Amino acid sequence: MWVKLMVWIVLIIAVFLYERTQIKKLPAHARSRVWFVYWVIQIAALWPMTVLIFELKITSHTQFLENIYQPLVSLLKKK
Amino acid sequence: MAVPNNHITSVQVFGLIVSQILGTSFLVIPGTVVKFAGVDAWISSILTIFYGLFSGWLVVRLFRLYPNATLVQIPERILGRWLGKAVGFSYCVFFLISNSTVIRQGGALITTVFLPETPLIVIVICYMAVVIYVAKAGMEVVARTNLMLLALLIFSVFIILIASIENMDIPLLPIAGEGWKPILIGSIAPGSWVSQVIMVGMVLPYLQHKEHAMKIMASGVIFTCIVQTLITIVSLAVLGSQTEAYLFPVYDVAKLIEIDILWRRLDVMIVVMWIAGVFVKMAFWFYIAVVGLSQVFELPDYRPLVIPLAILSGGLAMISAANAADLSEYLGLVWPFFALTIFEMPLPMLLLMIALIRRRAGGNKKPLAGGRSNVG
Repeated sequence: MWVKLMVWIVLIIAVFLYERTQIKKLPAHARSRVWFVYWVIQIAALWPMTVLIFELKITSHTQFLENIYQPLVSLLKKK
Repeated sequence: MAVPNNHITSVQVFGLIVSQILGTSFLVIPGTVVKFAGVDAWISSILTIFYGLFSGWLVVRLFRLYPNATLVQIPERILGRWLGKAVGFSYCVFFLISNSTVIRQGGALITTVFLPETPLIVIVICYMAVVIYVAKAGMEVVARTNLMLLALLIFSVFIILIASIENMDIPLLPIAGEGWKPILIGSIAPGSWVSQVIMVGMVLPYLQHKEHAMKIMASGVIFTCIVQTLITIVSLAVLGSQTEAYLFPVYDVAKLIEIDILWRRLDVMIVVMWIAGVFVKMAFWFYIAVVGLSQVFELPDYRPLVIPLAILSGGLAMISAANAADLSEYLGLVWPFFALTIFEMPLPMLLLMIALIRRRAGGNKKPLAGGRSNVG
């Protein structure tokens, strides 16, 4: 678990450092917006990564969809 | 002559349609359809043409009203800034979820059949590394790579279909023996896969000959459905109603081919087809997700988002299903409803209706002025 966590932290830092050089090349007025979307995506990635690293038993997006569409699915299974 | 970097040809769009639908469905769809329609699964496969043509027609109609806007930009033109952006963003989420499913599917066959000792994450990382490279290279690279691999995919499909003729000994009778209800239910899952043709709405503004959009869409859908129907017929005629028991029926059909010393172990071709099909599909869905996001947030370039989104997409793929059987259930029963009841038909239909009503009311008569393009 700790190895996975370390790998992930190193990955996040490496990606940040690389993308910082790329984003610096963009027009000044657009940089803050790019950074905003960048961090929103990184924060969204926390969820699957935490589930993976700590091997949590949390409902995944597929199970969430499965729960929503359960009535239709059971109707189909009955044929 | 090199095509400008943000323009794609009609053949490339045709190739994208075929490979996006056929890329992964050729291996799993026969099993899913036979589960509901039995020996009439081939009729269900034919019916999917209507799903594809209808979804494609909706998107092309929208494109004709807003010829410079992609599928995530069109809602903004029709519904206004914030509601439109929310709908556009929801399409990006749909592309991302579909992409993670494709990645998981890509790993499923490899970890189940070929490399059972290899952790799934290794396969996912390998796939994502190539996808990041292709997505950063831009749309033309995606389209050209797709065309090259599609030729290989189609060639391999036909080799396997022809070589399987010898093993086809199960009659596909009686036709509609249990009525039309199972056939119609059986057509839902493949119908949702064929309706993925809506993704063409993300590339139509960059098409060189925009007037051919409807023709390209229709020919892509019809060609794909014919190939899919042939695959279903061959799977049924070789494996019979047992097709539903197999996770990857076409792989098992290929394993049974033993014509002479040269024509055996054709299942290796399935691996090549699968890797090629998954790769092109993954690359394109990922590409439209990242470009869509940059268009929704009006960013000057999509490239800074490629690696973070790849991490998110790979992570979602890893947690999406515990094993291949779970994934098969999700793809056959849940994803079709998720796609068909929101993104593939009702949403484009609603957008088209509102756009037409607004035009009739005189509020939006002018064709759209140049949409912002940040496609590489």
